Amino acid sequence: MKSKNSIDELLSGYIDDALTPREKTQVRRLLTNDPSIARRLEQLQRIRGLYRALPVAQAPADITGRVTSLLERRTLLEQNSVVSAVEQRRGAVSLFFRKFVAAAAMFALVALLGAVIYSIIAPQPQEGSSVAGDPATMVTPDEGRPVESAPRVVAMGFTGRLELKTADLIAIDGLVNKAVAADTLIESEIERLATTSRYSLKCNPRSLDRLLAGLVEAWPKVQSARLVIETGTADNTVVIESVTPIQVSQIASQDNPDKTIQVARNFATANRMTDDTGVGLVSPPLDNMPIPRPRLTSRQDADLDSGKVDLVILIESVN
Amino acid sequence: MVDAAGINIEDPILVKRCSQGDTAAMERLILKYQNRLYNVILKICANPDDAAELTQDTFVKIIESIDGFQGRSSFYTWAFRIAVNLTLNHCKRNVKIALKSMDAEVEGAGDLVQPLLRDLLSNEKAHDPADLAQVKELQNVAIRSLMQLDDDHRAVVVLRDLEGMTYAQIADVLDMELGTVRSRLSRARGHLREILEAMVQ
Repeated sequence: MKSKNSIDELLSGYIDDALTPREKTQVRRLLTNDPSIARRLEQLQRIRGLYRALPVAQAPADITGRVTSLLERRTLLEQNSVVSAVEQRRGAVSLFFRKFVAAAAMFALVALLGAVIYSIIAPQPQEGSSVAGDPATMVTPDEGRPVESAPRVVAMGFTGRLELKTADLIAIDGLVNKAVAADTLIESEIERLATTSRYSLKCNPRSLDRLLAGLVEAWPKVQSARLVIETGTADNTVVIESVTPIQVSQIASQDNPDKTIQVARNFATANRMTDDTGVGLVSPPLDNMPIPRPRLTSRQDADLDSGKVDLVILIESVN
Repeated sequence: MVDAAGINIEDPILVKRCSQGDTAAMERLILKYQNRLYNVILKICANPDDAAELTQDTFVKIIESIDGFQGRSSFYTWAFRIAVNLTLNHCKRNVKIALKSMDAEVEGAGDLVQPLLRDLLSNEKAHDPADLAQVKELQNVAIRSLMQLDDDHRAVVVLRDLEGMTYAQIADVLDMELGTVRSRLSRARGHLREILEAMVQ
């Protein structure tokens, strides 16, 4: 004997045609043998018919549009969240960059301050406007860098004759005389004739340097200047045409006789080429020719007080 | 071309195109299923506004999840599974409101439809059952009786008697065994009969 629930489940399945053949046979037997079960089946079918007859509700007409707009809105929100994440990352990178730049600027500022402080406390060479080059810092063209400085060198000086021809004898003579009179360290013998003046000087290279410095401004009035270096032998005599006060000072500041001769020869060659070509400046043709730099007078300079210069200055008037 | 359950065999093609971003295919899927989904949702939740919103949420979730659609079941049952789950979850969140609304409607059943309902439940054949089912007042009674079922029973009845699904499809949608579908449907129908009989007493 089946329970009421079991019969109802069979009847429910029966009207849905969801029973196995055996279950269908079983239902048919029940229906034949029990009129109440048949009435329940008919009632079940009527009720089912009521629900099956319910009209299908129509969806709102704009479902498609609403779905589309909702999808678009969600997509935008997702993009915004992605953009927001990207912006956050960019912000972090930017912050890191700003910190890096700030740190770099701070280091640069500290380095600058250090350089300023060093420039203040470090020993400074005295600024001097000497006409002489500094032999300690001479450079050669092929090396292109300063020659290593000697600890302390002594300028040797030289023996020679400086021959000046000028249309303004009075001015040049006056300048030389003034320099000689002002420097008590210069031993001088002066011989003046109608068209010439002769100064026989014995001094150290520093005194010569000062004398030559006084002549620099008046040098354009000199029409020709020749320096003859005499070393005691005919082979070592060097004649430098168109010599300048700087060149004379440079020659006197060399620290040994060989350098003195070499520098004099280099100047002689350079000046001759300048005269031949008519060009104001010609590069020295010799590899080893020293190029004097403006000398800074300081403790590190060559000792200009110990050398000896034996120089005759001959000033001749030309018209 | 439509099979016995009303499933268009074009569904796999539309689904594939939709997953590739074809908006035309997406619109065709929506147009094809919007009334059926809306009808089932409405019969379960009994609120047109909620049903409309749940329908659009269903389609949004379908389209967002369509890449993950494996094809192990049909798109038809997959779509209805999403719809029914969303609706049942909605019903659980709004159970108090639904019960209040349902009680008010039961009180208003009125005497007008009682004779018709009595005829439907009796076997006296005073009226043709098919004609009775077309009476709007009886249809309203049927809807109100559905609302008195619990959610799980109501969902089974709606899917079977309103949507016309097979037991297998219902089992797929509700993720349950076939036997469970049969027994639950039987109990739901039994409850409906009791509810309707209570209305004519």
